[in-house]
Amino acid sequence: MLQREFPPEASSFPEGSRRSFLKLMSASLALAGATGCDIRQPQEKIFASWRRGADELAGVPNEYTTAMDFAGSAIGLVVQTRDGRPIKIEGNSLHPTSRGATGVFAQAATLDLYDPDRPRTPTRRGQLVSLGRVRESMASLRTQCDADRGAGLRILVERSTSPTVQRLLDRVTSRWPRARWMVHEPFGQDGLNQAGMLRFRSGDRPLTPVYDFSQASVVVSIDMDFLAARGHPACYIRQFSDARRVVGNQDRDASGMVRLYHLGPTPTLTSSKADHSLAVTRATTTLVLRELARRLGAGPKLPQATLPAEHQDWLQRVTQDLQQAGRDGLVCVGTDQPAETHALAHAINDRLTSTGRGVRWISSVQIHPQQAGSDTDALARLAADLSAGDAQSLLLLGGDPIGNADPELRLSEAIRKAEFSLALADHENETTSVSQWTVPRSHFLEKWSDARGHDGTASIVQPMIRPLYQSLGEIDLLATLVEDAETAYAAVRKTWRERLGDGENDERWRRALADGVIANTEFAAVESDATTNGSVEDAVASASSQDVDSDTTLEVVVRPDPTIWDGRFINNAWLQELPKPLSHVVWDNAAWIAPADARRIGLKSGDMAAMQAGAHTVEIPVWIAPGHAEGSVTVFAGYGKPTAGRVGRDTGFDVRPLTWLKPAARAAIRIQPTGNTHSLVSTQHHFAMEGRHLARSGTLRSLRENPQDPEFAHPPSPLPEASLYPPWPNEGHRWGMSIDLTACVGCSACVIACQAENNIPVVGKQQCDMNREMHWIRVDTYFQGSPEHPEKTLHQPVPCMHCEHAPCEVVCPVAATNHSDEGLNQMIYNRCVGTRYCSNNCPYKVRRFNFLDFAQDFIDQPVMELLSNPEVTIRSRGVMEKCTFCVQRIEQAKIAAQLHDRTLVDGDIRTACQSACPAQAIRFGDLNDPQSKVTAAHEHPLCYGLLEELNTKPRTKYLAEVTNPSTTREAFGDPPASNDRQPGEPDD
Amino acid sequence: MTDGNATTPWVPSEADDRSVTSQITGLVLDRPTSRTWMVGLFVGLVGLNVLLVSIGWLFAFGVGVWGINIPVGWGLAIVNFVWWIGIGHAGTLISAILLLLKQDWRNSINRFAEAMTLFAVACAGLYPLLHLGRPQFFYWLIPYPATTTVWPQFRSPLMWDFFAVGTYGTVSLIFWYLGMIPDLSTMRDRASNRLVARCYGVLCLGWRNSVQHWMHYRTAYLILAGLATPLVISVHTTVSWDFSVSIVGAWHSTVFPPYFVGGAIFCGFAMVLVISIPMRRFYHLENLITVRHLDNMAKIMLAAGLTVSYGYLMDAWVAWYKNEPFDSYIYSNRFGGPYAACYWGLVFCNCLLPQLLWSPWIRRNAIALFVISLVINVGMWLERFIIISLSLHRDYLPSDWAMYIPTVWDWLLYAGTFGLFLTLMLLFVRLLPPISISEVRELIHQSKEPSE
Repeated sequence: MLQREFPPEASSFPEGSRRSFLKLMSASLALAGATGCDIRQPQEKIFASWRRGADELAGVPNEYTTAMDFAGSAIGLVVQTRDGRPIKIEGNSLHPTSRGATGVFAQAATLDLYDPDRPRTPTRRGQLVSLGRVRESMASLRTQCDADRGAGLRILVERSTSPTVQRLLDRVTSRWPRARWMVHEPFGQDGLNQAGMLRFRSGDRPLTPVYDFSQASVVVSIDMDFLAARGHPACYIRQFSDARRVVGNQDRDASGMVRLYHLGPTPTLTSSKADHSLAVTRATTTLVLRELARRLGAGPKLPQATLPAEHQDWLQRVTQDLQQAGRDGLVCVGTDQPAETHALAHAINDRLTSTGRGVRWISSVQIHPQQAGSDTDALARLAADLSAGDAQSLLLLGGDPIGNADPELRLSEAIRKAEFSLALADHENETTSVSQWTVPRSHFLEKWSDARGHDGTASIVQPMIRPLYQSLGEIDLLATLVEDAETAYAAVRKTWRERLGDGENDERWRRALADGVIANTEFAAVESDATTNGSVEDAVASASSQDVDSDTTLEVVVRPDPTIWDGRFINNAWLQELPKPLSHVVWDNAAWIAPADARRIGLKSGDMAAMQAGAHTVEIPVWIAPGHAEGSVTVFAGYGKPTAGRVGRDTGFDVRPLTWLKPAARAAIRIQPTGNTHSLVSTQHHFAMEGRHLARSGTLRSLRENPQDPEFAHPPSPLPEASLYPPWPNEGHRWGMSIDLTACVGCSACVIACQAENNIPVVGKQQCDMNREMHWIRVDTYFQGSPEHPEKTLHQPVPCMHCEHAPCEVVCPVAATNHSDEGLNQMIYNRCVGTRYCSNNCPYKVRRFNFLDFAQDFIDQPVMELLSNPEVTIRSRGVMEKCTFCVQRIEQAKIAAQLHDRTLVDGDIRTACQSACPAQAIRFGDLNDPQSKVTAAHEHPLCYGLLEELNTKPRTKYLAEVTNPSTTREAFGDPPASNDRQPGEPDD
Repeated sequence: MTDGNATTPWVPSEADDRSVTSQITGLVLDRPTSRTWMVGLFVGLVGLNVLLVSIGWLFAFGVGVWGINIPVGWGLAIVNFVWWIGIGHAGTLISAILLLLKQDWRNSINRFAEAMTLFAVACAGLYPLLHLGRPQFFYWLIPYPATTTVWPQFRSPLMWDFFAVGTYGTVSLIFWYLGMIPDLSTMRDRASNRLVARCYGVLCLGWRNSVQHWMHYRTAYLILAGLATPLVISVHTTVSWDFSVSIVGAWHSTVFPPYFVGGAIFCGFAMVLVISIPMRRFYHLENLITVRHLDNMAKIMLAAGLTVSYGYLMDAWVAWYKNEPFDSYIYSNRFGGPYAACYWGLVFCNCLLPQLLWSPWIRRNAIALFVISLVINVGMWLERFIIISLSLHRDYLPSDWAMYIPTVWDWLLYAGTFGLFLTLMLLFVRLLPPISISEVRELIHQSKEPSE
């Protein structure tokens, strides 16, 4: 192989301008085409996934497995590459965390890889240096540590699950006993860790609960947004949806569907799917949970709490249901909850004996230093060490600790004084601005590493492409430091030598790379020692909670932003432009506030509010969130970064001072209008259905009453029967889609998957404000009921319906949109003159128009060109575009079937949205195939077509949502009630 | 004669062929270029430049410079297109239909009304081209045997529209030009400057006023009038099909064709009045465009106004009667939605204010009529804005609902077409006989002969 003839250093480009680098890059790609052998593949041998057999061939897509380490667990991925360029990410169905699906962040990872704002070269005191110099510095640090047993060495690492990182860091402390390392993560999980240690008295190693929702019949979520496809493993959504779905789930029909309760201040995707959601402040959440524990006998010594009627009602239903469910009941808790809440919840789970069934405890999969300590304390301890002069050499591996640190810690001054400091960073940030050395961090698609899924299953992180720039991974640095100039590849191989051998072509290694998982590496459950009750009451006694009741102070809940997380994705335009769940706001963060509180304080959506956080004042626009708990305000962190790149610069508002507060101080924050306003841009302006039967929903009970023709799925409405045009011939394939609203949780993974697959441009905040976003699939949100307490929140993904009688087709004067012989409503971009008549005539408004030259970035930024999917045309200005049912994937599958001389079978074609969907809510297939899943779904009594009364005969159909509210007292009316009010309508 | 109390004649009794000829040709040939005209032309040229700049900006950056979006794919460009096309109705209506109906009073207003039609169609014709995302490929709408073997979509109303407007523009131009040929020869004969005489000579195609010429001319003119008459109805009917053939709730309505034609006559006559009232004053044409002319046009306007009001009423009634959520929402949105001011403005401009025209005093008061005509033009613009853009802003799925706010480039392009219109109009009155000499002379002869 050509790549093996190059020594390792040949991969790093000489220092030079970006332009020359890009020239070299394009030259190398051209060479790849010429030789049929890609020279940007890693030097080490990588193995294609089980889906494909061949090595990289020019023009032929190939797939490799890897894993993305994020938010405390890794998700296994299959990455599609073209000529050595990773262009599309899918979930790895063999990986337990993924089960074939992905969340939004994994889908957007390719854009991060090709981000033109990534740093390209290491620097020392602002001067460009080579990677060789960085390695030399590691060597001299090693010499120094050998001399003083690591007395001055402090290593701060970002949260990771890599066994190799753990091994190398343990090696640091064993080789140099006086060295210390700690983990820093802005959104830590101290409460969870404390509770685990408290419960199991486990001492050295923190424990984590692993939930299994698939067996549960009642789930109570204590502010755990496990249905968001963001901070929690994607498989939780799959488990929940499997326990919930009606269509395609015969075996569960007998036991009925899972019922979900939610308790917490912030409306989330999880609370929106809940059958009974109680929105209360954090403080009250704990009170309610205590009362629940008391009633269930999990904490008999707890004092009885006096709660308002609404809470009592909720509690009564939960108590009754959990008692009935027994070991099929499950209480799960958000990671950022205090230890007390975790302790209470797990005491309840023990009482229900669902521990071991719905929840099991395993050793934490995250790296963890020998000396325990909380995530949030890490920076304080580091600052103390630095100011005491104990720490002289500092390795800051990943993240932005300085940016996240309270300035009162004076961490940046202390780091400036240190003899040696090195920051490994994805982007320029405040940490890189104070450290002597900055080293660009390799993206996970360009480095060797390993990672563990939520249950401990290990995967090798395999690069698909050699580092684009002069960058290193943590393992490169640590291995150079402590294992004397080993490569990351060698370090990873060493970690897994026993299990996977060390030959380059060892069958076990090869298999691990091809499968994307290392078999039998999941962690065994830790046995409970059943001494819980005492500790629960200890935990409660130690925790203080006061219910604050004042006119201008509110409890502040700080959450990571749903699309840019803690700020690490701030420069990712796909994520910036992904409508945030429920609010659909893009490119900004906001403080979510209950309608009643907003009225009382005198705030409207978009008004700026000032919050006093210690010595700082945080100013942030307010968003009135239907269903938010009164007395509480949710602030999303991650925005307002002073050092973001071109995409993230000047977006959102800095709320870091709120994160520096102690939890107790967040319980009462003064909030006042400043009188200014900010333009918060939302891609959906109207959240009421206006009595129309759009997202249909009904209860399980009403479905059982009339299983053949449930009225909520087919409200009385005259359906047209005649049409002016003859039906299309019904031969060959007839592609169709079905979207199950019961399963869909509204996570928007489909939106990003579609964007990545179809080269969909981003348009920026201003163009979003003009309603010109380009997403081919969107997830509509509707609220029913009053804004204060929406009875129901509905999510409805809307791609192109591919109507049989497509209104768009007949009005295009140049026949640029027409019907394929397989029933696809297709757009011929080259023919489009841009009258936009088709969009006007589309009742679903799923067509997207290139009002300006939105795709320019693909051409202007050569590195972005590497990202584009060669199977999908880049659309020029003035051209209409829309969902194609991933026609390129259909054609690929047809060609593959033809090559192997077989017919297409159901499941051969998976659209990008379908394949990303963690809930498996989307089915796609041939409606002419009576055995296909989509045919079954289209024939199901719950199936309906959106706006079918217009006689468009949509090929994309919906399965009406079935909910499972407690039948103690019927809480929800069956069909969408006509009393749905408008919960906030900024456009008027 | 429709006018019952026709006491004043259509032409003054003292007028004869010579006086009319010298009065009208004098406007062009003898009268020195006035200061007012120069100022007017300057304003027109400024507007024309605004048009060129806005087109340049549009071509440089794309239709995204406008306020259009998804769901409102059609904004001011199409509103203004329909508005200008509507204005372009009156000319041919006056020329052709009134000719066939032997309404002789049309003879003194048809020429500039036809010119107005042409210029309005020119302004209107810009928009369908400019509003395209890729205007360079506008010719793909033409069915020509392309090497791609791809034909246009003949089911698309935009295709029909292309032909309707194209035919209407062509026929209007020929009709206008044909009607002008005898007058051009008069101009040739009366021009003192040789070069000017040559120009008119070329333009009049060698007209020598022979009886044979007149015979052929009258036949051709009548045939063209016959051809143009259905076009008056068809062009706006076809324009209305752009909307009524579609599936958009507020568009999908069979009432659109008559209601659009009524509206077009309404605002076309308003525009004729807006032009003729200042023109008769500046050029002292009160003897040829008499108060009776104004009165007649006001009556037509009143009738057309009642037609459109009936259309609005029926549209709303049907929406209520259907008892269908999508349709009834459209009206509740028009009555009380974010653009309710536009709707009530429309009701005031098009339904309430024109009721003043019941009063003969108002009909014969040039200033009042001028103001009412202007207001009607605004009202008809609002009607198109409501029908086109506001029907789209809240359609079937509430999740798509959005506002349409025209940008400065939307407005500048609109202002620019006024510049084009004004420039063409001023050049027309300066260079060509604005009132038909031969037809007025005919009127004089008729009035002097004993009537039937």
